[in-house]
Amino acid sequence: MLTRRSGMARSAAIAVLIVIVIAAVAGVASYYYVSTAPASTSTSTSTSTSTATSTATSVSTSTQTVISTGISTITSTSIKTVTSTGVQPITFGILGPLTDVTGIDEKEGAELAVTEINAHGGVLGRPLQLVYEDTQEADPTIPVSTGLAAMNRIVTVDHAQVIIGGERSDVVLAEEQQLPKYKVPFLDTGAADTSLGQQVIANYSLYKYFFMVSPVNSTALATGLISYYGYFHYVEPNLTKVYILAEDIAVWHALVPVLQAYLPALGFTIVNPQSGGADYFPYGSTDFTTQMSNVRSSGAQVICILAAGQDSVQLIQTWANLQVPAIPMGIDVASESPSFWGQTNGAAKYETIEVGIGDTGTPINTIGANFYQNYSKYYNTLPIYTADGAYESVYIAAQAIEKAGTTNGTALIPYIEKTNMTGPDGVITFDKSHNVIYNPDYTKGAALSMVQWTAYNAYTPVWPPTVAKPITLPPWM
Amino acid sequence: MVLPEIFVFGGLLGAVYALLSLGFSLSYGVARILNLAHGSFYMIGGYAYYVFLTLSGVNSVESLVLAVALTFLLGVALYLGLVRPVRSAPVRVLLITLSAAIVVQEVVSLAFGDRGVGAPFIVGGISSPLGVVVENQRILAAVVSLAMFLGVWLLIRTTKLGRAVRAVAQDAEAASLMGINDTRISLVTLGLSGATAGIAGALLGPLTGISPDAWLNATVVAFAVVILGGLGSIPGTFLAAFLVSYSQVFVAFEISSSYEIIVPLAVIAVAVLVRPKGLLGRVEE
Repeated sequence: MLTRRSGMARSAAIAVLIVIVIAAVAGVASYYYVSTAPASTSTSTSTSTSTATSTATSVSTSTQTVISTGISTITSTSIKTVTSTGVQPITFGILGPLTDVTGIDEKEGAELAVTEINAHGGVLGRPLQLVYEDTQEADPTIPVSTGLAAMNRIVTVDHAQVIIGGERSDVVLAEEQQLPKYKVPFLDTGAADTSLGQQVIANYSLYKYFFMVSPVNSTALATGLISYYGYFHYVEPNLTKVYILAEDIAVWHALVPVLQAYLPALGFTIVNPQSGGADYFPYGSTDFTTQMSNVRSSGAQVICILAAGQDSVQLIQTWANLQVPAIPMGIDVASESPSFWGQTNGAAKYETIEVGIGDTGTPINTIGANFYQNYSKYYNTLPIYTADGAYESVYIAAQAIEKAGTTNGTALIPYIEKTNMTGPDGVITFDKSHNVIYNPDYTKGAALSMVQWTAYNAYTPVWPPTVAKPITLPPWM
Repeated sequence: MVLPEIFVFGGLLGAVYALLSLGFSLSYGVARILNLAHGSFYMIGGYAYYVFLTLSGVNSVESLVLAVALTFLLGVALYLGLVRPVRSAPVRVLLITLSAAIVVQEVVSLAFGDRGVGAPFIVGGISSPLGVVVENQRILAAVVSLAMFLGVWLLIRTTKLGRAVRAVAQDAEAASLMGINDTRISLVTLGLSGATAGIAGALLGPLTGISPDAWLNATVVAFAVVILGGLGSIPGTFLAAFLVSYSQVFVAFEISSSYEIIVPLAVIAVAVLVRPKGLLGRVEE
């Protein structure tokens, strides 16, 4: 008995040791993650609503622009920490997958805007502060309820007066259902499903709090993609056989019929053998040998790729490894991250993707240029669309608060609706569904572009024609 | 029907499935441990190979060996630290191994992020067996998996250690009376279980990418293979691995890849309902 007890005690001790080792590894990993973030990140996020002293990191400016006129044109790059005492900060909540590149960029884009605004004295004389909740929604196995719990915390515990974020349309759709209860403006910077805006039209009084800032909605994404295919047919008239390869998620099910209707009219032939005319693969897939085999045997010359998740990393690697003689051109969210090149070990070369025109690497205006310069300087990487969206969202909300003279969520809505602001992606205005309005001309709306991966951290714009350079086909085609 | 594609891809995948499931079969058949963290060894094997290769400067073969050694040790640690104290209660074993898998997923997610990682191939290039274009890495994964499977099978069938393992599998109490150390055999079994799943992850990871949640699908596949083949039956595991892989590839090619994931789950349900002891199992569980 004594021996058995002693054996059990030894086993228990080993179990405790293993738990300690795991905790230590987690701790080191967390420390590494936090310590590698730019200094401006940690200081600007360290404030709490429970204290009257707020700390913010500021960017000193040589060009001063008041918040009511829109996004300031920051030209200087020196950072210093300033402290404002005795003023209650205004709290913006960042709600997204904070360990994923989409969420990290949301966080960083918002931090940059908050830093700039606080450097100009804040809003209504009060500094802005950010709070964060992780929805983990980039992981397809994480349920919608995790996002809802995070939303509940950000409003009731963190006391966010404006919510910025979102990534997965199913999660954001569920979060949108909570807005009548919380009455807090929600500026979406990731989910693109057009149905999100339909809720606003169907029941305005309940869902008027929702706004889609970035990217443009799925209908506009389809419009942009079809416009590009029309242009591509003009520059490469012999490449007409298209294989549609899409994740099995709602947003692509809505977009594929549009492509099926318009691509043949533009001179393309859809060669999918599947009965629905598209090859849908599960979100989160890791093996694409079947799909690539089907692409090859179909005789396709173009793969119209539609992917919102990280699965495209493996898709593109398999495409390149097997040297499938068809060029992938479409919407690939993971590929919008500069890290995609490294993730695919360079297999991303030649992939051509749709991005916001502010994300091509070639800024379209001074605001975009400054945003790019500051973002890449502080975070040592290039922003993706969620960073632009969060950056613009902070300014949109700040401007509305400044004009309304209050942080009351319901009172802010008319002012957010009237937004007319120039940002890195063009002019931001909202339609009746509270979706940012798409326009091929970035001086009139939010515009899109198609870019081709050419090297590490390097895209070449191949559409619209005003900025297009020749597309390069893979050597095995 | 694309028969050459189904034949080639199903065969290559089946070999890796066989190795992945072998440890799961051994740990239940010998040590009577239903280890729901089995897929974690697969995931850790993939990450370990990636870390050793990209961060430590060792070459791909050395990385593979180190990843296998690490997963062997983790199998031993899992048994000593978590399973042994609750081994007499199967439900507690299920709960503690499931909990361990989820904790490991979160730790890996914290360390490497939710997005997967993709390590460089051990061998590059492509080949065209039967006119089907496949990566050489995929062929290597299948060949190494078959060799490892054969090696473990020979170990079990022909060595003194293997005889002890089989003795414990047949009757642990009688084996103990004959002087066989049950704890030592269980340690070896869990270590082998970890190592075989780990090498499967290290070989397949560069092809499919490895993400923190990769353990779940690996566990489901191993579970399906072992249930179908018969718990504890090595030949049954081998046969079932190919049946599951061919079924998956057939569904992916002929119906839709969206339904591919359903195959192992359907296999579990059908096997439990129609033939609970599996294809070559001896005892109904």
